[in-house]
Amino acid sequence: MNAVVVIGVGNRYREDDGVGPAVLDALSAAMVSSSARLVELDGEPARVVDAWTGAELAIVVDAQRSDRVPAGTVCRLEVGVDDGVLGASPSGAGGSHALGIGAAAALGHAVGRMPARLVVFAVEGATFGHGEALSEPVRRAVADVSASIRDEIGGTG
Amino acid sequence: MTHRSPASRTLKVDAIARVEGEGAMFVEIRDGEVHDVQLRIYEPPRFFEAFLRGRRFTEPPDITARICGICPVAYQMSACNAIEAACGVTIDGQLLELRRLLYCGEWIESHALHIYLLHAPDFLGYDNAIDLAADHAAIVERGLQLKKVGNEILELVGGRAIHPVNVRVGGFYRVPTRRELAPLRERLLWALDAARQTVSWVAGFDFPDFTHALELVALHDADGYAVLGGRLVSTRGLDIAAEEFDAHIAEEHVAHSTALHAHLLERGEYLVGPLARFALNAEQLAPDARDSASAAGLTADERNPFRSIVVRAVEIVHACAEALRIIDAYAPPEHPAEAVEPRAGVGCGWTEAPRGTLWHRYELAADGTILDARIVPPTSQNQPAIEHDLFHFVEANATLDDDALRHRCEQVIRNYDPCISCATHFLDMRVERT
Repeated sequence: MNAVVVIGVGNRYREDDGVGPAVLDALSAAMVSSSARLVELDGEPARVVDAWTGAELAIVVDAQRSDRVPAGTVCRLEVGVDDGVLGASPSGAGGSHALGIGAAAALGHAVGRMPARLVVFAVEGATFGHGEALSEPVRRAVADVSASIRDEIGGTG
Repeated sequence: MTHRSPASRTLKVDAIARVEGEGAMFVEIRDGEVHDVQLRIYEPPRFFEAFLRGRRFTEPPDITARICGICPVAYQMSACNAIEAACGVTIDGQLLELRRLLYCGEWIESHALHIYLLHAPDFLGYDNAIDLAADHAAIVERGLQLKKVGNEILELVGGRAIHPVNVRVGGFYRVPTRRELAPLRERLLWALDAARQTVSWVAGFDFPDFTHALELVALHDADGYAVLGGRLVSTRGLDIAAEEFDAHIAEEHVAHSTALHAHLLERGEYLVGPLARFALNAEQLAPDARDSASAAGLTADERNPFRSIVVRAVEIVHACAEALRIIDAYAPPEHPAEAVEPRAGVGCGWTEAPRGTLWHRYELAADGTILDARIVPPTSQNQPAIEHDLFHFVEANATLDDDALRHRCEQVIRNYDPCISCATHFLDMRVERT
């Protein structure tokens, strides 16, 4: 088990929702996989919790759609093991598609399976339609997030 | 929003929680009588059948796996069955056993997810699994670990847990060695025990006193609890081959759903899924599963849909026992896949997805090009049965206050573990241009 896991959440075939997997690709090309486990997931909370269980540092990259900041804006959040719910309430209305990293963090916290450190990079997306191409602002953000993650990993152990 | 008056009221849930996908519920009571119930499925149609036209006959296992992140194996297996039927190929022996092992992984993963994270909170007074975990962390952890065992089977045999990549028409791209399967054995022994505990746990829930008289429909296979094929049978004498599906079951579009509704011709709504499988095939369960069912008080006459959660738990016991049996007897097949050559014709195939029977039909050209494709998923078939249950449940419980009735109605829907995203891919779309 690597002490560091980077989890890219998203769907490669839904435009900017694929930013998480795109960051994993960039990290893989930069050979970061030698110092961190790279995991691509759809965001289903139990799978996310499984992926970060036992990690010293878990870094999650996901797309967000707040419509409050320009596309490509990167938000960094750090959640400690004793912090509670991250983001939206997991009990909110809607089916499984409405669940996200907030629900995963709440579940992990409830069953005592949070990483020692959890860092979330949320990238504001512009388009979430069908297709593999990222919008230009999000494509540019991929390089920035990848560099930030390399810095985060470099600061561990 | 809920409105109430002494004799007339409308219950609406705009986004049903703890189901796979996105749907709504509408119940209208007029003058004290149930006037209308609707399971409204509003996810956009996904047109998978149209995507398949013009593609190679080898592509449906990978394309249709994308229909669902929870039950991709069901789509892959039904697609393979149908295409192999069109090409005159039958898969048997260890390749068939590996397919069954992969399917066991999906049943374990999907059923554990539904029982622990989606359905159990209903019976224990929690809004969600996270609140349940706050009070009962060890129980939820057991569910998460069970689900993980299912995922591990998918990863080992299928290449990855979500949308497996190792399945092909004719078999697999690569088959595991005995040594690679060996670590699963210890995990499955733990899972078998955890599954038995799951049956005991859910059997102790407080179930509403409610039964239905729906026709129950499932695959039946003389060789064992049907998963990968067989004939479609029912509690009222249906007994058909996959090629006869169209002659007995019709789909129709209703205005309030982007998923087609299915009916048995001249008979109406019917139910597929765990309750139906158990009613029709209980004697073929693995001995461990039969013992668990017996201890839980389940009989083949069970008709309370709220107790479907107990049947799902029994099916996890069965899947664990089956997976162990397959691993213990496993000898790697000589070739990872049988050769399948295309030919012009039509092939139909079906399997038992976690939520019920999943039927595929493909028409191929001589060169293997797909000319036509049809997919009928279980949730699409169960929609009329869900509305039937809603109607009669509300009728029998109209004295409940709005909040209690709305909650119970959501639970009625969750009894079926509906996978809404699977269901929304119907093809009928009319474009009028002037």
